[in-house]
Amino acid sequence: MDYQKLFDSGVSRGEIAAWRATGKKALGVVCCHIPNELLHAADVLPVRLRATDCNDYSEAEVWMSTFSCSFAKSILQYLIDEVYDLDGIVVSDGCMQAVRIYDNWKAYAKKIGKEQTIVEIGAPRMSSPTTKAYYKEELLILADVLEKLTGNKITDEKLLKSIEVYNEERRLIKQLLELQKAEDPVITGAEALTIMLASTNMPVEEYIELLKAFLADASSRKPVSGYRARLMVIGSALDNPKYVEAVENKGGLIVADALCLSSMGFGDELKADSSDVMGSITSYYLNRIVCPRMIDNRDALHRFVVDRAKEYRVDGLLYEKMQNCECWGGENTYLEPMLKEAGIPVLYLEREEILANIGQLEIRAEAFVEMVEKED
Amino acid sequence: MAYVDRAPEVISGGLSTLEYIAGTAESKLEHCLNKDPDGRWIFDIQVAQWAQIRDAQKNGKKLIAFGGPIPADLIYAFDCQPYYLDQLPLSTAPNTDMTAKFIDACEAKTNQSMCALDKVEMGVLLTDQYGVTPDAFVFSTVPCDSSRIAYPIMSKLWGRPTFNIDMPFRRDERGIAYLAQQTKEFISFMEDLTGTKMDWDRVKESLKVANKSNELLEQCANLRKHSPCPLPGTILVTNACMSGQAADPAMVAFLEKELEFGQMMIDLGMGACQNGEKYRMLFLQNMLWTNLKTYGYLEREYGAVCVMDVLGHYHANIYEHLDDPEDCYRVMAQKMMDLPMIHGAAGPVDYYCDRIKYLMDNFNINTSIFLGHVGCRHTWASTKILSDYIQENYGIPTLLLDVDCIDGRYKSGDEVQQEIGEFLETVMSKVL
Ligand code: SF4
Ligand code: SF4
Repeated sequence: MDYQKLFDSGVSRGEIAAWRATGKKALGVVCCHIPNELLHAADVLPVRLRATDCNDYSEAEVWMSTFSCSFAKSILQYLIDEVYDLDGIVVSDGCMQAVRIYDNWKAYAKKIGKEQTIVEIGAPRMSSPTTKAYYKEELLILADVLEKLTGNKITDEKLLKSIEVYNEERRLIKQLLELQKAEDPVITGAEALTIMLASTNMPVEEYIELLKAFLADASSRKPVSGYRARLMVIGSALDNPKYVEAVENKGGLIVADALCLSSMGFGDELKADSSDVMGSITSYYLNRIVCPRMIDNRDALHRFVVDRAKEYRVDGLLYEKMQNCECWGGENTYLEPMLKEAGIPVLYLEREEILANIGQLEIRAEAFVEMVEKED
Repeated sequence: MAYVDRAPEVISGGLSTLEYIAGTAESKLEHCLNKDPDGRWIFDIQVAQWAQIRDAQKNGKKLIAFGGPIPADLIYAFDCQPYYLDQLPLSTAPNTDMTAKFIDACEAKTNQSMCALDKVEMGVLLTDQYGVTPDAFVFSTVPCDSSRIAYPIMSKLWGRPTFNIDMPFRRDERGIAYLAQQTKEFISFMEDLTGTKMDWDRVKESLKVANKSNELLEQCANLRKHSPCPLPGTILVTNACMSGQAADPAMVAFLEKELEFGQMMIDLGMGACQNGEKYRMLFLQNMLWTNLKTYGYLEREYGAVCVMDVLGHYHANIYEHLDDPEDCYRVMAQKMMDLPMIHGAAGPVDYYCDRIKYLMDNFNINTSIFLGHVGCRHTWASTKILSDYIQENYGIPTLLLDVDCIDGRYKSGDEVQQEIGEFLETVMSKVL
């Protein structure tokens, strides 16, 4: 089976159009706290929104100002430009700039008279029995919206099936990540990111088939050799493999990440309790470590980053932060000493969604690789 | 005694911020008593508030630092002293060098994108210049991403018992029930912290004081509907303190004086603009804490008075049924949702528009200015919606003006005055 589609990092209009042409609905999803399983169980295509290759977000900037995060602005721009032509969007208040996509798209769609289903789901920022109960109700409200939108009833049975489908995807992604542990992996970091981004472009069943085909073929791929350092990347939403490629061109192979649009967005398997399926989904999504948006998971996030860095035997860590991104602003305070203790150097990088200053990145990446590379 | 500015001692690290702010308030009061004793009420509240924080532990009270929306009225009911941390940067902001020291200390450790309010709060902790260590730290998951980054770090640095409240995005019945439930959990936390059981009679006393403050605040706000506006823009700073101080009797005394003063101005036919009122301004976002003199300047030079600021507008909520704890918890929840920075900025932008509508419809506003704090990225991300709303519904343009309301290095008071002045003269004079 030809799995080449996995290596296309662009945002695909065709897939969504094809899906909608069959009369089914497709909804954009902002951030990691909207369970794909819910949309899938209602036969809605969840399209995790990103803005890969956006090179002009000037109209969105009129709405969201120069002071806001360019990732959020670029997504709004893609909605305005109809790069995404969807039935609506579902937003959770992942961070407070991302949630403005909800407000601004609602205002914009109203202005141009575009009919949209636009939903906000409040995802608590701490985990306790009270917050879990609240989040569960929010998800039930979302389920209700989806049922009304599609006419499809979301039953426990359907949810369990959807959980199983997404668990299969998670297992396959684990296998993909395992490939990166090898001394000479058969994929680069840019390729791994591209493959994971491709999941946002197609129905999960198709993605699973492509992943299986790729993994079956992986051992025949030529191992990547000759790199000078193994690196891990963490930080703000990163949806452009060219950014990773720029680092890799300078001899630093990215072998691990803690990025929400990459490995973190998949996570571990969801263990469902059939007596409380929605409760299982709630706990999973509330407790899963994705990013620093939660008020009470930071120690766990820091431990996760250090453990993963060790597990993948990295020589250095890239901490990239989108300008104006506050969420990823403060982790260095406690992460840095932990990384130091583990002997892992860090390079801090500021960036924008538009890759305008790639030369600067290359210079800094090269210097960092030189610093961390191990002599044979 | 001549006023001695002790800011250099703070900058050199020899004096805590608490000693400095409390001492400065006392010196200013003394100065006022010599020159204009009638104006003492403006300083009485500052002296009372900072002395209470400074002396709480000496007086055997637990000091509870807090950030964001929490049920602060209950802290008084447990005979503890709240310390609303945002009051610290608001108090240091007029001194650019001192504020810069703390901002730089924070930036050296964390994140330049953070709001300067949080940078100062964290910087003071990193330089160990609070002058007091709170007995507990209570904070909510909003107002913003910035505070949610800063507070957990500060909590770890302080290492004191911590309680968190999760603020829902939605502002409806479900949201209220969610917050009411967390309020009950907060009571358990306070019981453990103080080793005392909640005494509802004491709670009622605290809520009665809070009611009185809220009633007075509403009455003071209502005076501003009058043309000319009898109260100057600078007094709007009180709104920001209400989250922590509504149940403080000193707040009642202050607001009674403010009401009296405002009423007197109306009776005398006077307004805040000495040379006549022309522009009744609504500030859509923050106050200019770095340069409060700007308000007086605009009143004097342009007849432009800031009638209300939207982010700081405090909608008074009253405990109607003091014998019904459940009902009171619901009011507390509503109060948390209606706090400055929370009502408009930390939820759907529709609520920001609702607040604007209320102020536009009732306060006879004719000029709109988004005095946007650069650190407040999520409110900047709603500027077009807000300014379009005002243009479409009220036919007036909005000036979008970037400032750092805490870090005076970003833009000087003169520049801000000039930019607002130009807008008034070149745009608004034609519109009106
Ligand atoms: S990059 Fe940062 S500011 Fe932007 S959407 Fe993500 S968390 Fe929010
Ligand atoms: S001004 Fe804005 S960014 Fe600053 S603390 Fe308030 S809500 Fe947060």
